[in-house]
Amino acid sequence: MKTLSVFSFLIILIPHMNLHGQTSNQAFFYSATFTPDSTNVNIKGTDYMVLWTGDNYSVFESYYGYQLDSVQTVTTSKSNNPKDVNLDALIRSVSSMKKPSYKYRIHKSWKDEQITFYQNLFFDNYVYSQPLKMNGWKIENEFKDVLGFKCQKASIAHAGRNFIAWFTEDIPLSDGPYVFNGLPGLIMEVKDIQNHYSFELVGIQNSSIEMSKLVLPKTIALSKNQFFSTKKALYKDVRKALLGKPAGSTSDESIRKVQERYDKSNNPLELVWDK
Amino acid sequence: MNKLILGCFLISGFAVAETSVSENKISESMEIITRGCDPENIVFISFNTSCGPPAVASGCTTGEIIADVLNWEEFHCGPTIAP
Repeated sequence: MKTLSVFSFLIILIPHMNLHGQTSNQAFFYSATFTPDSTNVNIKGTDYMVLWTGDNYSVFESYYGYQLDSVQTVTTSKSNNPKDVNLDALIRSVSSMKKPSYKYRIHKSWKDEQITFYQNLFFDNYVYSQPLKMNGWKIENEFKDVLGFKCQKASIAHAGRNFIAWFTEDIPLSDGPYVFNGLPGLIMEVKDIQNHYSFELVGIQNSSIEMSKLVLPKTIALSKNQFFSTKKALYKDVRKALLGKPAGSTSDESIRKVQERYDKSNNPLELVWDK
Repeated sequence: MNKLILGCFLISGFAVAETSVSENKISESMEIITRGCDPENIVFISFNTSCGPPAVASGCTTGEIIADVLNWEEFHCGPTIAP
């Protein structure tokens, strides 16, 4: 708990990489499914993801999260002072919109050979970095068609799961959904062999998005190991997430219900992260 | 110590919030992350989440307040984010 408290105050304004001038030129949309509870794999969650790609740079995030941010950005473009804004209308607007299931934003930089992983957990935003390069892809002599593109099969063991990917050399981007990259063409589909996590391309658009703005504000910078330890501790005891928050009316009963929900969220994509 | 409160969202559901602005006191014993602005300028919002229990969102800017409202809604009512 002390560790978490210390982390709570290590608030660092946007870190690390030089993002200036990173504009996307294409957007690849993926349908994502996940299995939150390993004890009941019939329960599936979904999201609609987007991979913004530019020159030697990309961002992968929930499109629903992007839309939520866009509404806020437009509303607050003249003033971000809450006294100048019709909060009623703004809250009505955002509450009627679809919410993201994936609350991360993954920045890949080929120039820095680094992935910067932004993630919201409960009430705080976190950031950690990891090497971009993925070792261990095995390209197989098997092909199929995805959205009219000829795709080739590849496999990799990553974070404690075995994944099958389908990539196309017709789109010469060594990129893909989530942290996946390193194949000689865009990854059109990727799923683990248990089918707990999947990302499937559903659309492509030209786009011009300033990717430097697609970060989370006021992040707490951690190592990857620290981040996953923090996440595990918060999920195990959601009451810790309330440290430093105004009290509100969070009763023991409501905490118990929240904890029950998070107890059923026990099947992360990354099963192995302490290395 | 008086602090500004944007108070009391009387909501029958989260999607139909009503707001009003008023002055109020925040407990001095309350531990608050100031999030980088003058504590006098933090805005607090009391609101009901869609599944019941009221919560208090706070922030220095509209963006921070809205983010906090959404985080509280998700915390109390879900759906749980992908693990």
